[in-house]
Amino acid sequence: MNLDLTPSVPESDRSLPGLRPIGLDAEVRSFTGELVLAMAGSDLFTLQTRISIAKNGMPARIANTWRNSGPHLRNRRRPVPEHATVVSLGLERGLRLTRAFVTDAGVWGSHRRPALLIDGVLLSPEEVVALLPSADAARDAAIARVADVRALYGRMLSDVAYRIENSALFDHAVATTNDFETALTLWADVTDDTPASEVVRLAAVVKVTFDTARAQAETVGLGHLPERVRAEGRRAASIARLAANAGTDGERAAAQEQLTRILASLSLYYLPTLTRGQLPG
Amino acid sequence: MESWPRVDLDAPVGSLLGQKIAVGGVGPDGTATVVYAQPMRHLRGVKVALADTSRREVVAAAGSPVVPPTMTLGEVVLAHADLQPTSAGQVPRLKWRWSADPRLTFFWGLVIVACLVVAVMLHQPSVATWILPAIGGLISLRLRGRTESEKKHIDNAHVYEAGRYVTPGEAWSRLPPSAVEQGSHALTPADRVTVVKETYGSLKTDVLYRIENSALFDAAFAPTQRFEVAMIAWDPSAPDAAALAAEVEAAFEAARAAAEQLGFTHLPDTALDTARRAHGAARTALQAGTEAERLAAGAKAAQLLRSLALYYLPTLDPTTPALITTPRQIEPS
Repeated sequence: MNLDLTPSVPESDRSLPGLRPIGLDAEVRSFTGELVLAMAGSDLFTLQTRISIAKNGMPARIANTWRNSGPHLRNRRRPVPEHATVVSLGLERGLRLTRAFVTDAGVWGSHRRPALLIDGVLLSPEEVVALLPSADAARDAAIARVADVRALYGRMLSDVAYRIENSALFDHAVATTNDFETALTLWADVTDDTPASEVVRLAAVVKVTFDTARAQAETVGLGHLPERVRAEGRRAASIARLAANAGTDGERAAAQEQLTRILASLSLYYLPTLTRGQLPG
Repeated sequence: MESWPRVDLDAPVGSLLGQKIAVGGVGPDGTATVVYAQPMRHLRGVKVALADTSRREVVAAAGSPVVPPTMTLGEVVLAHADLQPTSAGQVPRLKWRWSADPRLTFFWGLVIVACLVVAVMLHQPSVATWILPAIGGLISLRLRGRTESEKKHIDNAHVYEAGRYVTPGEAWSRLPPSAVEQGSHALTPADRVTVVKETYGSLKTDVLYRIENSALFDAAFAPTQRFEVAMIAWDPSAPDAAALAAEVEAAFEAARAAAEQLGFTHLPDTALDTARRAHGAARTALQAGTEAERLAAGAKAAQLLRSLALYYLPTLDPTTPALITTPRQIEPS
């Protein structure tokens, strides 16, 4: 199982500390509260979404967008659907974006201009872009594609309930999972010297094998566990959910203890092992 | 019924001034819908009046956004109506509701100013007691359907043909079947990939084909993986776009031929019988004479396919017309 979630070499080579490249077709719901910085030629665009309660009492997603050029009123706020993508929100501001990054260290600073915290220094979007390696459209898109897959895979790894309910995705004895891990390993060998067409192909293989492995794991679900422990597995998943959503520390600790015990008794190599005090979810 | 004349989704809105257009596509929630659009001249670019035909949870903020003239029709619809467009047709008989007619903004402004001028000229301050509520009423009429997110610019326009309004469902069926002029000699690489996408899309929504030739939808099958990788690698702005498009076409043809040759034998031996029965039930459902028969056969096919738990077989919903639904992905917390 590939547990190494620090940015791989190809990603960190073409980014800055704290910035993660993202695909332009990434949906905004996967980075609530984080700041997206995107570029269209020399025009810059930032985007931040948050959940607020609308008049009808339902939660609604509100997007704050800003561009550094064009007519005044450069900040805009509007409700957006959960499935809105970075590219569609850029087009809404009249920009054809070519490259995008996300950071959790962004602030909407003074004078209604966004700023980003890079290596402990607060920088304006223009300063950040000046520090970035120069754009290389095909390579950047490929790297962002893999970064998106790895970010999602990372969220799956840290969600104990997901890992139990879709355990086939984490079992390399399953052919589709094995293909995905092979693709990730091949990807790790990409350097700046790898030709762009090869980078694009390797990234596409990562994406396709991940989607396949995920579809396989989510279709089989708990059925991947040996029949004798399936009921236990279902119980463990619901306890993991309980622990993640627990209201009080006591509740959480109790659920945690129970979960650790069940997982240890299942003793399956592809299920997560928890040590006392480790927070699931 | 003959379909409406095709409009190029890649045409800049600046070149479509004054045309009345119906755009069909898939909304972010996965439902197909039709949006009417009418680009118009404006001081700061092109004003595109938009009217949706279906209710969505959240709709775009501006009913008639002003966009740069170089933006394409497809981009405007994606950005301002949250619609992934598939094809567009001309609808000269598009009619706007009078209070929402985008061409009348200037006219209503004139009416208000004229009323004020008349009031001042006649030295009648008492006019304010009726002119101000009248202005308020007009503005609220113009804004109607834009303040409440649920009502926003829905049903503001209709196509009026042969003495009656065309329903959104009819409008959908009268859109050109393809976004590309098929059989034309001047196909760009992007057009060629669009043709492949449309062919693949129609196979993907054909439940019988999905079960018969499941290998085409299993990316663990090498020819299919080659096709899916080619689709991702496709980039219309790449310098070697023609070569990439050629690879998409070749990979698709190869994957399709390989999958059709394998047929049912792509499935595990233990699944063959159940898959054949599911295929039969799905066929019965599609040809059913009555709704009850259709639902029963569809539910049986759905249950059989679910019991197989094979990720490359379709997920069925007997209540939808084509029986096929997109499988729900599980999101980690």
